[in-house]
Amino acid sequence: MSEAEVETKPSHRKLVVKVVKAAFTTVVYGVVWFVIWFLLSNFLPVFQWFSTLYWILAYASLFFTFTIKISEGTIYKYILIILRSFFVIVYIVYSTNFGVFTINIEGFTITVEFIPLLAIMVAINLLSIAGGLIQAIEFAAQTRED
Amino acid sequence: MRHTVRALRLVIVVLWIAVLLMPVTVALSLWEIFEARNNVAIGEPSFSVSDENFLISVPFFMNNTGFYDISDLFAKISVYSENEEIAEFSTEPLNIPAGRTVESSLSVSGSWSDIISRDSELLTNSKDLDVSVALHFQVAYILAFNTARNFTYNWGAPFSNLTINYMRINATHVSFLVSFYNNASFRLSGPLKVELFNLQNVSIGSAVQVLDVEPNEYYQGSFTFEAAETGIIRLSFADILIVERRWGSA
Repeated sequence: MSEAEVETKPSHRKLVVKVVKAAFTTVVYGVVWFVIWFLLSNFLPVFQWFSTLYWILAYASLFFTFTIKISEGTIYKYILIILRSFFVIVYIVYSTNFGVFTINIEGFTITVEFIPLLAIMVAINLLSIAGGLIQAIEFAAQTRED
Repeated sequence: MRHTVRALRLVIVVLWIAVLLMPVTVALSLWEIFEARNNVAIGEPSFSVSDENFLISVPFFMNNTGFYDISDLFAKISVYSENEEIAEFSTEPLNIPAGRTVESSLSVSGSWSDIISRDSELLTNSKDLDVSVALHFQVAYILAFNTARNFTYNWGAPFSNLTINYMRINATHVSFLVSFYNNASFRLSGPLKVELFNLQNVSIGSAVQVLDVEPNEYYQGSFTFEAAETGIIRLSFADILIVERRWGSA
């Protein structure tokens, strides 16, 4: 067995372990999303548009969970954390129609405005971006030291 | 840096929990209010008319048994004629703190002349108006709710089938016979003014009759002027122009 083959085997094994771990975490998160959906659909009247929006968010979240887990120990993890927060900001602003929901029920038009709540959600994601940036800087500084 | 990141994470988690719990607690608060039927009551609306103005008043009672204050509670009425807004009225906003009871009335008042100035056809043509009634309120100063319903209102014109018949009595005098039906739901009381102008738009005479026409009643009145020439006749009610047309030979 050559020296190169000996070196690649553990790195392959590491990658397989990473993928398995990431897949397992994603499945766990998927189950959580599914349970939330199950509870919501039982207690709230479910509209088609809400279902679509919910599952887009769920799939996007699962994608980021998997990719963040798999990129553990690299700078990409933090880039993905920042990207996830950007995605959530754009998504919640777009999907909530800038914080104004309107539905028509039996001749009544009901509008719910939650712009202040939306602003807080955006602020939380901006904090998350800041956190990601700090972590990325810390990671870059540590790898340079090593 | 690790501590900063940890603190940030903690803040993010706390904020997410607060943000996600907020709609749930607001829903529970509203449930507390509307669960008991006697917590909210809306009385019989009253409609009163005086000269140029009208007043719609709806008695309102609310016992805020929820956890949050209800603020900015008001009703808004918008009236549209052929998709164009001709009137908008809002009631004074009410604030009902948590645990308090408020007994008030939601009142809107307006002036006929304001509405008619935006659509003068309303004076002479009966038509269907689109009316939107909306109720707005805020819970916890963060979530705002608006419930609106549209319906059609059959507007009856107060000067329906308006006719002005012109008759020359002699070489110097002319008489005008004005008639109409009051198809409006209110009594028409006020001064009906007839003004005559020559073709150079100079006033050559005017006369006033005080009207008191009940709904669905017919009115007929005659106005005689000293006038030898032809010109323009202007008919106005309480300073609102109803019609302007030529009289005499062209």
